Amino acid sequence: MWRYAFRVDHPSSAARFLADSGRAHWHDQAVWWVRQKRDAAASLVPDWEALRDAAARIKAHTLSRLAGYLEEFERNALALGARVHWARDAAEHNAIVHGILAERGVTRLVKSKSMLTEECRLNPYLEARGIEVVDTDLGERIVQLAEEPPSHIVMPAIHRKKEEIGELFHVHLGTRRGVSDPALLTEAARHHLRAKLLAAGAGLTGVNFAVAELGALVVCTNEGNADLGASLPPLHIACMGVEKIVPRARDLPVFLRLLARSATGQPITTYTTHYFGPQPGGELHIVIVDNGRSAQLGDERLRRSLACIRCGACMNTCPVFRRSGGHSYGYTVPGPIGSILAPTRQPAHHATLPFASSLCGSCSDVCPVRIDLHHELLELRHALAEKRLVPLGKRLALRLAAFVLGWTGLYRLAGWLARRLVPRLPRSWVYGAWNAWGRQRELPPMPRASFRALYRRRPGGRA
Amino acid sequence: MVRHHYRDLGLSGPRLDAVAGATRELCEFLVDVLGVTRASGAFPHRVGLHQSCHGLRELRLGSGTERRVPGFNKVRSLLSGLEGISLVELARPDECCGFGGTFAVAEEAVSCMMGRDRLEDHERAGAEIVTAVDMSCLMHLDGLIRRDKRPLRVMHVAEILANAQH
Repeated sequence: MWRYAFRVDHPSSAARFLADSGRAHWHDQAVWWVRQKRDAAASLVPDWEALRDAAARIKAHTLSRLAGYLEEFERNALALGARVHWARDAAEHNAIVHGILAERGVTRLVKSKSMLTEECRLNPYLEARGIEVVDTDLGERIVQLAEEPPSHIVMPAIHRKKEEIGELFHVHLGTRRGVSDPALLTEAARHHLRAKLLAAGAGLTGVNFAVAELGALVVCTNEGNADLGASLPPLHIACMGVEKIVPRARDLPVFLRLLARSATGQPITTYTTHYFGPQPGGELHIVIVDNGRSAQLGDERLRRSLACIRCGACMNTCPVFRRSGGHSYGYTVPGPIGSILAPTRQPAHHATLPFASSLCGSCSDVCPVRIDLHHELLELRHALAEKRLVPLGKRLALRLAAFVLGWTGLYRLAGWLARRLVPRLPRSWVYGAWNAWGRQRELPPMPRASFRALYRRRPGGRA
Repeated sequence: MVRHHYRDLGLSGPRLDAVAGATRELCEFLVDVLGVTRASGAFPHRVGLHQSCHGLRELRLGSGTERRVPGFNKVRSLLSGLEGISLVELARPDECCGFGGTFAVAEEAVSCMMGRDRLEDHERAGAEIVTAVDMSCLMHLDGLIRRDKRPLRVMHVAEILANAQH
């Protein structure tokens, strides 16, 4: 099973991803296509920007009264016959889920997509305790068979080409070698998963929205796998982060209209299922997980990213994500939002992520809940610099730059030296190994005179 | 920078407000203050407009492709007034060039691929000149153009406007 034992070094991982330039361009284009579908879907909603405003306000309100809404949700869910469990962190979450399964002697679990359980590394925890875990989302099943983490939160296997999936299915599902037709492969997966779903003792789902006033859960999927997993076995476990709460039923349409359009360009997900307590004769257990979220809520600079509804639009629009792949982020949630969430939880481990952005700001403009992603990334950079979690070379270079810029005389001298010296130096010196700029790019030609001199020389001018 | 980020440097007070309030990007100044919506002069070239991110998304010089707001583009409309100019249509009209300050060096591999992808878009669209409102985008793109010996050159919007007067 995968895990990220070493500090995440985004620039190096990205460089490895880009070494195969054909594949990198294919990935960029595949993900960009989803961004274009999102644009087309959003353009059909006349009040799109007003909808984003409404979503942002509902989230801000909810997060400001989160404890109250969580308790209201618990009361109403209990009244509907669900059981509610509270988990402080990933370890507690995993132990709770295992406890529920072990008590009932369940050895086969089917799961629909849940980034929370990825975050908590539930699969290896349960597998080590003798429970078979089968991801029933097609993309999730692909990465599970490939023994790798998802590379995208909405399209977990977006980094895989259909030929590779054909090979994987040939090995694991017995499809004919060389078959890469998506319809045939999907059909094979459908049969394989149907058998797993029928044999399962319990189904685990994620949660898209938990409605406080109803105690109801909403799960959105395109494949109907969550519905089968939650309905066929008698035991349904739903795992949610504390931030999944919305106060009222009438808040739901705001998010449902935004979610699928932002995620995949669909007007709505194929299945949008509302669970009101357990099915007749069955059990529903809701596990509500904190795992660092309330600490984030307490940080004024970072709390807004808790509003994220996990649509993945910021990934699809991010020029860096598209060209470095989800795995380069080394965290369950990659891309701009992951670059905020990961270092918020583990600053030292994920210190390169807030710098894996040109701060172009496209993410903030596609975000359906108006998270100011690129400005939060900038804030995080400040916070990491204060903690001295910026590479030494960069720290020294920037300190030197600040020193030179702080003294007019020194700045002028440096400019004079550069203009005189650089053109006379041998090219091999100027473009030595130290010069990361010059590896693939020319330096700007040195001007003959400084801006100051040109300005003084302008007609009728004096500085 | 002056308008949005001087406050982050710990500066404040009425003097900062005055300076920040009076600071404008060139095209913004021409369009919003002087009321020049279309520049005069002639520039008979095929030009690709690179929309520098901070001009586009911090200063809102244009509407951008992400938001569903009435379309506008101050730089493009200004340039389109020039006689003989042909502004080419890009496949991705407002993707970042990958400069991004220290990003250009810290994430060198991604930065250079982003720049090359932009240049290929401009080339395919038939541009001879790539223009922008931000010198740093142009420095990065020019560095790639000269290294790869591409049939493109960069000009700042101000250079085009000045050239068009001759």
